[in-house]
Amino acid sequence: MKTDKQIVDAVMSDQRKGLDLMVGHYGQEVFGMVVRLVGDVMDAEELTQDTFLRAFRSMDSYDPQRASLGTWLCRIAYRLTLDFMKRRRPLLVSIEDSEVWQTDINEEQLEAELSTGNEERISRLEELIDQLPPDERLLLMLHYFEERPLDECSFIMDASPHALANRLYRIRKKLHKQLQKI
Amino acid sequence: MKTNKDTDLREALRRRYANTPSLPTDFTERLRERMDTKPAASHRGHWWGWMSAAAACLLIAIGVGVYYEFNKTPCSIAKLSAPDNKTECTQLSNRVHPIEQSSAPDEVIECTQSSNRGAPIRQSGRTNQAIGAYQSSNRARSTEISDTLGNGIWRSERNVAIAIQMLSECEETILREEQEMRNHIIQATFNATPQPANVVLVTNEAGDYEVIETKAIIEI
Repeated sequence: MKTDKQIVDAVMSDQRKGLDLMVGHYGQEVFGMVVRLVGDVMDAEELTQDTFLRAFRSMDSYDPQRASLGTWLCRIAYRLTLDFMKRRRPLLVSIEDSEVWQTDINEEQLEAELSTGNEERISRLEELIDQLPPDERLLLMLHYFEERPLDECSFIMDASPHALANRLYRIRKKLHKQLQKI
Repeated sequence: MKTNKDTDLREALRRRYANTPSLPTDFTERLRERMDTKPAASHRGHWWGWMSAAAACLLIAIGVGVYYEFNKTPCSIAKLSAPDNKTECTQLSNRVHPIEQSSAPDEVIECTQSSNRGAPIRQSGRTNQAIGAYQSSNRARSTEISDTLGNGIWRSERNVAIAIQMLSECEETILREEQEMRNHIIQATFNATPQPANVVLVTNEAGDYEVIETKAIIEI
């Protein structure tokens, strides 16, 4: 198991060896994140390649004090993917955003509503996740699926942890609002 | 920061994203191919990008310059060249009697057409004093545009021109048209009210001081 420092050193000294190491170590992580966002394997592969190429050329700007190499690669991939999705089609308008703040529900109630174990609600949530804008989907993915802390999510998505916490709360309220329509 | 349970949401995400496809096996080879070919193309792209940006900036600068110059030109009133005195005198002969000051006393005034009698008019010393005082007061005000107005234009017209220049926006006024400007000047001169304080005594040709007619200086 190579450390980030060994991988970075390998990239600096021998690009081909460094490439093999970096792709072997973080390729699937980056590709997985991208393919979940774009939904198409070919596009995701192209974007993952772009991510590694950009990382190679700007390896000097990588600061191990700020984030791990994998997180830094995910940050590059996130930006490229968002740009790609904006070019492909305009970002979807978040579902019924205007109604979200009218919902009067506190944190405990919300958590209980989203933890029922009801099969029908889980299936409905799967559908609703697909309707979310890419940045909201990614936040759920990073925080709930990949279990990344909000600090790491904030580095990838270039937003403050506090802003992401607020956004997460809003997404959950939005999903709850949709679930009520069942 | 507190992590929510949200088990339904986590389960939905797990089901949705658990079967993520694997990275293609030939991913590294294709990435190497791109690494070998991409830099040259990228460099060329950058070069064209900078050239295009520079050309666009140049075009914008030229466009702005031309636009600025085009809009600035009408502000000058240098184009308001007046025809000679005689034409103006003819146009206004029945309405006003402009008097040109001569340096020597008792000199015959050149603008003979303004007189209905046909005889030349001589000015007395007193007349010259009055006119001199009037003109010296106006000279300072008209200095700014005196170079841009033709010599043939009357002093009263200069005052009108000064007033118009001061009070109007060059870009918006219709007075940029020479004929329009001239019409305004003529109308303004016609509407001017003689000031009783500046009555001038005009003497007969023999040089005595018998008052044969009183004239008024138009002051606008």
